[in-house]
Parts: sequence; C-alpha cells; structure tokens
Amino acid sequence: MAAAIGAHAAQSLGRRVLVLTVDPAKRLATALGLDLNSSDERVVPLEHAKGTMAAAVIDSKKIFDEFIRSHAARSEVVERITRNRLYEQLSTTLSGSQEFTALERLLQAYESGKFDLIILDTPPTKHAMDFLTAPHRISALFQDSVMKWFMNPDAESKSFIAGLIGRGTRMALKSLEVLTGGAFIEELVDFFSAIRSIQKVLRERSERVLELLKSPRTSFVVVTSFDEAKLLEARYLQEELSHLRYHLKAVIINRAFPLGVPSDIQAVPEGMSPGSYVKVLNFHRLFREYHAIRYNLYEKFCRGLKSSIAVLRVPEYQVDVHGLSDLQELGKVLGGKEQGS
Amino acid sequence: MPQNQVQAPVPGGGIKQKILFVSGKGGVGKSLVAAAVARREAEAGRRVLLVEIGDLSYFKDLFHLERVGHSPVRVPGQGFDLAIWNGESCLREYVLHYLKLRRLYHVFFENRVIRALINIAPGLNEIAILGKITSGIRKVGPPLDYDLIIVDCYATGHALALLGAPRGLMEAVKIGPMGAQSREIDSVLRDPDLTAFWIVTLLEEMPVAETLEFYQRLQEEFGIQSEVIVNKYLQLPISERELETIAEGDAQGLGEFARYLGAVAERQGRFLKALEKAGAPLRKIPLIFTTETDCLIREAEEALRTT
Ligand SMILES: Nc1ncnc2c1ncn2[C@@H]1O[C@H](COP(=O)(O)OP(=O)(O)OP(=O)(O)O)[C@@H](O)[C@H]1O
Ligand SMILES: [Mg+2]
Repeated sequence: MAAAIGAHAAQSLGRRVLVLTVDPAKRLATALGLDLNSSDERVVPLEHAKGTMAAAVIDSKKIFDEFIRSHAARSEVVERITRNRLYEQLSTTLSGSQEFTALERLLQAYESGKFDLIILDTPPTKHAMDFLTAPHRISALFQDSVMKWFMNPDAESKSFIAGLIGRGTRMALKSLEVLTGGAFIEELVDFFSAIRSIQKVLRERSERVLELLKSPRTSFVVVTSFDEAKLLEARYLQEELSHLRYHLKAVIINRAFPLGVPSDIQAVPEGMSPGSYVKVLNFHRLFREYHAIRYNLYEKFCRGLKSSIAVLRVPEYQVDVHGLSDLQELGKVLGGKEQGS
Repeated sequence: MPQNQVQAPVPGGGIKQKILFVSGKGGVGKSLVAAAVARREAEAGRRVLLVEIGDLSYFKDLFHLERVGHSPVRVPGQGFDLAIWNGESCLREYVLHYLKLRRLYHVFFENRVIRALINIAPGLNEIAILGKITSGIRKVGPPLDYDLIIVDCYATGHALALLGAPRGLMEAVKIGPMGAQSREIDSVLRDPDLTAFWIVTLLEEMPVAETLEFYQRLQEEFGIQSEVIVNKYLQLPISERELETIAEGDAQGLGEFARYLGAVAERQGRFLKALEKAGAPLRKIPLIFTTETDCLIREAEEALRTT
C-alpha cells in the first residue's frame, strides 16, 4: 500500500518520493519486485513518471551504529557502547529497537531535503502503538530522576546505587537483581551509563521526531479491511492517534467487491450445460451476499468517522497486487478518490 | 502436531503440556485459526488455554466478553479459556510470585527507575512473555493447569524477534538467573515434542513470500519444523475446464465471473506449488462465506479436522 501511494505521487504528481519500510519480513521489497537486501536507497524504475521514487529497508543495526558513531564525542564511548553485550542484542535481534531506528531514519530522510514525500510503512496494529509512542518512551527514560541513577558511570554498580538513590529504589533494584541476576544488571548499568554521554542528542532527536509526527505536514493513513473486528481495531487506532495529536488523514479499506466481477447476472446464456451454469450462478449469489454483509459493516464504520478523514476503498484485483504496474494502478485508484474528498 | 499425537502420560500422573504458536502475515487469519484449533482440542476433551499477546484483546470483541485479562477466563460456548498476556503483566506476576511480599511489589512497580528500565531493557518483555508461556512446562511460577497452550502470536517479523530473544539474552548474559531462564525457554521452544508452530497464509504473493521466508528462518535459525495453514482457499463450484467454457461462452456477466474464478484458481495453484516446493506440510481452510464468528470457527475447525 505504501508503495502504491508512493508510485502514484511520483508518477502523476511529479514528486520526489521515498518509501521506507520497518517490516522485517521485507514485504515491501516483494511489492516492488526489488531485492532490497541492503539498506541503501534504491531508485525504483517507474514508467512515464514525472517524479522519482526510491525505496529503502530500515536496517536497525546499521542505523544504531551510525547514530552512536556520529554523536558520541569520544571514541572510547563508541567503543564502550558497541562492546556492551546488551547493546549488541538491542541493535540486532530484539524487537524494541525497531521503533527508534525507524523514526531516526525517517527524521534523517526528512532533514536531507531530498524528498517531497516520505512514506513510512509501519508494523501491524498490535505494534503500531509501540511505534507511535516510541519518542515518548525515550523522553521518559531521560527524566532526571531516572538519569540520576546512572550518574556515576565508573563506580561499581552496587556501591553507587547505595550512595545515590533512595531506599525505595534500592529495594526495588535489589529485587530486580534477585530476579535477573547481577550479571544482567551490570550489563544494563554499563549500557545506560555509556549512553548517558549521548543523552542530550537522544532526547533532542526524539523531541524532533515527535514534532515532525505531530506536524500538519505529516499524515497518518490507516489501512484496514472489510470486517467487523478489523474495523473496530481501526476505530481504536483512530482514537489513539487523535489522543496523541497526530493527524489521521485517510482510512483505506482493502478488498471490497472484486473489480471486474458483475454484481448482477441475469441472462441465461445459450448452449450452456445447465448444471454447471446453476452452480456458478448459485456461487455468485453466495459471493455477492457475503460481500453485501461486509459492505454494511463498512458503511456503519464510515458513518462513525470524522468528516475530515477520507475513506478510500481498494478493490480486490483479479491479479495479485505486485510488480510496479499493478501498484501504479492501485495508486491511481487511491489518488483519484483522494482528490475527490 | 499436537492434535494427531496421543498425549503421553507423564510419570506421576497428569499430561504433558504442549504449546502451539500460530503466526503468519498480518490479517491472514491467525486469530481465527488459533480459535478454531482451540475449540477442536477442547472438544476432544483437552484443557485448552488460548493466549493473546499484547495490550488489546481481539477476542474480547469477537466473543463479546466483558473482560479479558492476564488471568484466564472461560469463553462461553467454546469450551476453552482465554487470557491476554503482555510483558508487564507477565513480569508483575513473576515478581509477585517470587517476591511474595506485596509491599515490596508495590515499591518495585511504582518506582520510576525500575519502570524506565523495564521499558527499555532489551529482551526483558520478550523473556517475560515467553517465560510465562513456557512456565507450565518448566514448572516455575504459579501453576498453569492446561494440556495445551495456543498462542495467537505476533505477525511474522515480530514473531521472529520474540522467538529470538531468549537466545539473544543467553549470549548477552551467560550467568545468573536471567541466563539460565533464557536457556530453558529456548530449549522448550526448540523441542518438537513440546512446541509446535503453525504459519497461516493466504495464496497470494506477499503472504506466501513472507511464509516462505518465515518457514525457512524457523528451520535454519531455530531448527524448528513448522506447518503451513493455507487459509481462505476458494473452493470452486465446478472444474476449471468447465469454468473456461463458461468464460468463453458468455459475455453478459456469468462469463466475467467465471473468468474471475479462473484467475483465482490459477493463482491459488501457482502459490500452492511454491509452498509444496519448499517442503512445508500443508493444511487448507476454505474461504467461508459468513461473518458470523461462531459459524466461522466451526467451519474452520471442521476443515482442520479433515485435512
Ligand atoms: N477462512 C476464512 N473465511 C472467511 N473469513 C475468514 C477466514 N479466515 C479469517 N477470516 C476473516 O478474516 C479476518 C482476518 O482474520 P484474523 O483476524 O483471524 O486475522 P489475523 O491474522 O489474526 O489478523 P491480525 O494480523 O490483524 O491479528 C477476520 O475478520 C476473519 O473473520
Ligand atoms: Mg489476530
């Protein structure tokens, strides 16, 4: 979907577009028919395009490393952070880091000034909220009361804990240590005291991302499908977005009635074997009724939406939506309706 | 495959607990498949717990339940229990179980330093969730009295990150309880006698591409042999050849519909072949023409039973 919107903006509106994906399963790469094994921006060839489109997969590890390299003032600090075992896990295998790197990558692309439109493909609903609140969580981490704990990076963890913090925290940390063991806490303390030196940059960057996300220049598009539970989920997401003061501009509903399939069939064709004819006709009825029920749910959902939010429908195609020409087609469908609402 | 195996009696009585993870690309039908298999196993007389991961329960609305939380609740009419677990709820329970003292527990969770640490400490949430899921088998924490735990898991990318967390932590922290637990959890996940993995897919380009990638990575990185559940398979009312005849003969509607069905059939065939080529064991669930939950689950359950 992200690629479809991008292709349309590049092709018909002449924009310079960048499509970024956080999805570790590389589905965007598939959609573009490209091998996106590297995290570099690749130009996507488009036919008859006035603008340009590039695409990139977000490589967490690389962005983390670069971030630390460019912001840590001294090379020992870089060494210390990148040597930390938890850092290694954080930047490579663990899921929590994706949100941070994706947003950092978005900000970099925005600041580069190379693009008119940047499209970021976010994870499914379950993780969308983690993603959208990532800047808030980073800020919370660097609250003074929390950072005090990491005041003395060189001291032995236990002794400085004893010296600097209140009884409550001391007890709480003791119990955490009972649960996780001293080794884990030590790595954690080492990690945090090391990143303390780039605390200011981290906080600044996450504030800037937040500003960007809240800016009216940033639109959120929710993609959902024609069924009750999914529409409920979309409604929840819509509420959360407005709660965070992000701007939801459109809801795209996947898979309406398949394009090119007639909704009514009347005439009995001549010379048709009656048995198979009736079977297909009955099947068509079943098919139509099924879609009609789903359509009703959709109408109910639309009535509940704010009028400033555009609702676009994407029909199911006979062929799969992949490869660029299909995506462009999809982009046109979206684009055409976008202007109308 | 938990369903085809006779549950092995365990010395000292009782039944060995098993875990089934259901994953796949977003929106392909993971939740429906998880609910259907939960119901089938419950009907076969097993004590089943269906687990959601995260903060927001999908099944709460689907089954019109008043509340779904960390502690299992019975789903009326389905015969299985339901719970939703997230990093925080699992960690809370764990802490409470081990710290015993409720007072200390409050100190623990109200503390800002601890909160910040929990929020950001790499892998802690994942370990807490997987720790809870495997706690019955590992016999740690509060008892988890079920024969089968079915996890309506994250979509592929996040599922891989979740499953990789124990190994990641094991390597980061070799000593202490954290390292030991990670090792235990990891070995439960890799033990085919204890844990099974289903990947749900549609016969479409992107879900199949994700499925193949997921299937392979489970094999290569975890040594896990998974099964693929092909969902929303469109069963044709007549043969493809007959469809072609109709498509050629009629221009006023029926022909167009026949052409559509023919195109779907061709696509389904192509992607089925791709999945078969990868060597994945397959089961099929047809596209069910209803939006009624109970009907959907019943028919999906039926399909799982017969394939
Ligand atoms: N075989 C089927 N026939 C008809 N409808 C189905 C079938 N399987 C799933 N559905 C419907 O498709 C929708 C998506 O299914 P479901 O919510 O189970 O997917 P999911 O993979 O869990 O999605 P998510 O990634 O958002 O959690 C639901 O409305 C479900 O009822
Ligand atoms: Mg689901």
